[in-house]
Amino acid sequence: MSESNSLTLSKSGRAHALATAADRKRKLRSYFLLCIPALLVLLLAAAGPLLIVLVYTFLEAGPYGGVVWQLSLDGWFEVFLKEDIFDGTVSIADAHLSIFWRSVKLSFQSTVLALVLGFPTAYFIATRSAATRNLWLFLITIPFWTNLLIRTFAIMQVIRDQGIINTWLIKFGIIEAPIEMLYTEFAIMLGMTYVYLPLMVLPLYASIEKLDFRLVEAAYDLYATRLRVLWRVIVPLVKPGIIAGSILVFIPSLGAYVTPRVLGGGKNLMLGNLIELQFGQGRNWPLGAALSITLLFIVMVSLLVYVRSTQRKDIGHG
Amino acid sequence: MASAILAKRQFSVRYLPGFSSVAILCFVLLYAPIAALVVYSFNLGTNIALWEGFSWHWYAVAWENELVQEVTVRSLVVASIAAVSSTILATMAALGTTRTGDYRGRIVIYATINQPLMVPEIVTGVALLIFFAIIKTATGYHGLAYLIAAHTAFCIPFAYLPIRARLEGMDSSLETAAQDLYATPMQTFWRITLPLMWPGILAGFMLAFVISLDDVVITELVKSAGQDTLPTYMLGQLRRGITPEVNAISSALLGISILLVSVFYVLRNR
Amino acid sequence: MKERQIAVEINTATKIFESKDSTVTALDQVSIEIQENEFFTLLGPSGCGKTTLLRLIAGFEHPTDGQIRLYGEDITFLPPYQRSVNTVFQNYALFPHMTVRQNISFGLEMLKYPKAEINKTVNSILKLVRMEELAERRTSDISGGQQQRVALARALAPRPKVLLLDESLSALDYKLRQDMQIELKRLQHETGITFIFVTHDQEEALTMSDRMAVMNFGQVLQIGSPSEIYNFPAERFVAEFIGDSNFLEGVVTGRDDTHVRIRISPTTELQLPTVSTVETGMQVTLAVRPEQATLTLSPSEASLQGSISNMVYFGTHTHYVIKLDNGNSFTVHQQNLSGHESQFKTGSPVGVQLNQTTMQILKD
Repeated sequence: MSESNSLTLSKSGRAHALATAADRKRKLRSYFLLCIPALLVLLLAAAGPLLIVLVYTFLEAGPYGGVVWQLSLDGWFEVFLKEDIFDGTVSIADAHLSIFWRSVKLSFQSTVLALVLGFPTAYFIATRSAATRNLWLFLITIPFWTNLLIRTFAIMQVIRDQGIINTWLIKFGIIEAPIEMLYTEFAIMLGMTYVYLPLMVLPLYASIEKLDFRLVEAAYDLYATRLRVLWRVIVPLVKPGIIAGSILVFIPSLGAYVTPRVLGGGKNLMLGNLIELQFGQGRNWPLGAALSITLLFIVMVSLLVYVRSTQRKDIGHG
Repeated sequence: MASAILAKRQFSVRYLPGFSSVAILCFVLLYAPIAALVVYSFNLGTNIALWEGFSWHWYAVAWENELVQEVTVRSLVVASIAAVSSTILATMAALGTTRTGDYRGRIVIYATINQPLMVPEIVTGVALLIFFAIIKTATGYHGLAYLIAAHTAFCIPFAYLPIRARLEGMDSSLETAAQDLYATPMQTFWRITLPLMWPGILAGFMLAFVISLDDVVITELVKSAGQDTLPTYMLGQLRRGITPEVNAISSALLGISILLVSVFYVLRNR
Repeated sequence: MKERQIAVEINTATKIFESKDSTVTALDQVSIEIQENEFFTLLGPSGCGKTTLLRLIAGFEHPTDGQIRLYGEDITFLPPYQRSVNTVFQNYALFPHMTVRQNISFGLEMLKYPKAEINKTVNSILKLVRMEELAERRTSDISGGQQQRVALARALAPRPKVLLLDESLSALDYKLRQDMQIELKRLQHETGITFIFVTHDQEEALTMSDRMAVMNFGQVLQIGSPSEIYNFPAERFVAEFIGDSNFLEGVVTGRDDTHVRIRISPTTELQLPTVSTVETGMQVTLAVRPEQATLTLSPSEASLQGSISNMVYFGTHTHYVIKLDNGNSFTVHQQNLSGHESQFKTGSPVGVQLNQTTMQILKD
C-alpha cells in the first residue's frame, strides 16, 4: 500500500486493507501448498538426483562400479583424454571423440532429413480444409505416442538382411545378396528420423498454419515464381517453426539410447550408449556422470537457442 | 465461361509443386513399417518377411509365456500406480498454478514440473540409478517402489499439460456464479470445478499411462534384477533377434497405445 | 411516496486495486442507498467502477474501506455464499455440464431446501421466464436469449433480497434486447425483488430505472430519477453522457430572489431561475438540450446568431448544426411540424432561441 493511499483511508480502512492483504496471502499460500507434493516428487525422483550426478563426476571410480568417496578429476579427464596403461603418456581419447562426433553428425543428418520430409508434410496439413486438418494432425501424432522401441523394431524389420526390403528385392531378382543396412550408421540415422519426425512436423505446422497467405499472394502479384515465393516469403516467415522443429529433433537424437542400441547393433555407439556402458560393463561411474553432465550441458545450450528463437518471434509479431 | 475455367488449371496460392507427393510419401513411410509389423504378427511361419498364412499362433505363444505374463503384469502395475499418482499430483499442481494470479516463484514451479521433458532420459536414468543405489545400500530395500517413484515423476508433466490447458480454458465466472448461489468453496470444487476439469484429468491420466507403459531408458537403468517391464523385456530379447512372438507383443502394445491416445483426442476435443 | 425500507446501503466504499507496478482506485468513497423494490441502475462508461461496486455488493470483492449493509446488517466481509444477493452475470456463466433445470435448482440445493420444494419452485420459475419446454436441455443447446432467461431464473430461484444484473443485456441483439427490457420490468414487478442493474447504455438506464446513479472515475456524480438526471444534470459529464447537450460559457452579472442574470456574449444576457450555488461575477457553464432550443429566421431577435453548417433529416425531426458567430458549434433538434422547415438551408443565417426555464447551470 502506497503512502498517499493510506493517508486517505480511515483507521478502520487500514485495518480492512491489512485484513484483505493477509487474506490474499493466505490464499496464495494454500494454492502454493497444492503444488508441493508434485514438486517434492519431482525434486526427489527427477531434478534432485541431477545434483548427485554432478558430485559423482568429482569422485574416484570404485573397482566394481560405484564410487570411492575421494576427490578426483579422473571422470572429467577421461571424457576427452586417455592415459596409456604402460607408459603413462596422455593422449586424446579418440574413441570418445569419435562417439561424440558420431552423435552430433547423425543427429544433424536426422534433423536435416526430418526437415526435408517434414516441411512439405506440415505445409500439406496446414493447407487442408479445416475439417480434415485435424485428422491429418492426428495421423502425425499417433506414432509419436506409440512405443518408441516398437517403432524402432518396425524399422529394423524393414531393413534387416532377411527383412522386408531385402527379401522382396531378392525374390524379384533385382539383387542377389541382401544389401547390408542394419547395424550401420545409416540405420541409426534413418531410425532417428523415423521416430522423431512428428516432433519436426508439429511446430512446423503451428507456424505454417499462422502464415498469412495474402503475403504469398502479394509475392505472386509482384512476379515471383513458385520457387522464389517459397524461398523469399514462406521460409523466412515460418523460420521460428523451422528452428523449433529442428531443435526438437536434434535434442532427443543427441541423447538417444534405444534407437542406436537396436539399429546400431552395439558397434556404432552414440553418447547415450557410451553413458550407459559406464554404469554397466565399463564400471566407471565418474566418467559416466561426467559424460551425462556434458550431454546435459549441450542440450541446455540448444534449449536456450530454442527459447531465444521463440521469444524473438513474439517480439516480431508484437 | 465455365469451360474456360475448367480447361485451364486454376491458380492456387497455396499450391507448391511436389509438396503433396512428399507429404503422402511421408505418411506412407510413417505407417508402412508399423503396418508391416502388425501384419506379420499374424504370420503363420517363423520368417517374419515371408507370408505363410494367417494365424493367431504367435499371440497364443506370447499369451502362454509365463515370463511375458510376469513382465506384462509388472508393466501394468507400475503404469497404473504411476499414472494414478502422477495425475493426482498434477491435478493439484494445475489447480495451484492456474487458480491464482501471478506470483513469484510460479516460473520456478513450471520449470520444475517440465524438467523431465527437457533433460535427456538417459541423464535422468543415470541420476536415478546413482541416487537409488545410495538409498538401496542405506535401507536394504530393493522393491518396485523405486521404479514407481521414477515413473510417477516423469509422468507428472504429461498429466499436467492437458489438465492445465483445461483449467485455463475454463470460465472462472462459473466458480464465482456457484459461490453466488450459496455454494461454499468446497461445494464449488466438487460440484463445478472438478466435473468441468474431468475430461482434462482423464486425458492427463491416459497420457501418463501410455508414457509409463512405453518407457524403456529410465526403467532399464533404475530396475533391480528381475524387475523387467514389458519394454525392457523386449529389448532384452533382441539378442535372439526379433521373433514373431515379440512381433505379436509389439502389435498388442501398439493397439493399446493407439486406443488410449484416440480416447485422449476425443476427450480433448470435447 | 410512502417511507420504504433501505435494502442496500453503501457507506463511503473505497476499493483500491494494487499490483506490482500500479495502484488503481476503482471506487472512491461511494455512498448510495437503494430502497426496497427499487429498480436501481448504475450507469457509467467502462472503467467507471460500476462493476466493481456490483462485485462488492455480491461479495466477490471486499472494499478497501467503508461498509455495505443489507437491510441494516453489515455484510462487508461476508463471503458471497452467505449473502442473500444473486447475480446475473454478463456472460451468464451457466454451468455447461448441467441442464437448464439443474442450473436453476443449484442455488436451492446449496441452501438445502427439501427436494419437493425445489421442484415446485423451479417449476414456477421456469413458467415465470417461459422456459418450461426447454427445462431438460443442456445450456449449450439453447439460444442466447434463452440463456439469458435461464441466467435470470437461476438467480431469482433462491428468492434473493437483491438481484444484481451485470451488463446483462449487452450480449443480445437489438430486438431481443428490447424484449428483455420489458421482460425484466415485468419480472421485477411480479417478484418484488430489488434489482440493481449495471449498464453503460444511457437509453437502457433511462427507460428501465426507478432511480439511477451516474458514475465516472470511481465516483458517484449524481443520483436521481431518470427525468431528474436528464433534465437537471448536476455536472457537465452527466449532461454530456446522458443525451446530447450544448454548452455555453457565461458570467453571472446579477442575482436576486427569483432570477440570475448570466451574460453569454457582449450583447446577450439571459435570465434564469435562481440557483443558490452561484454568485455575481462567477464563471458558469450552461447546458442546453438540443430539443429545447428553436431556430428562427430572424437572428436579431434570438439569443444566439449563426448560420447552418450541416443538417440531417430524420423524418419526424431534423438535426441542425449551427456555426455560431463566435465560432462555436451548436446543435438544435427541431420537430418537422409545419412543413416550413424547408426554409432552413445549409448556409442560411439563423438565430437560436433558448428556453430559459429548461437551461441548467453547471458547476465548473
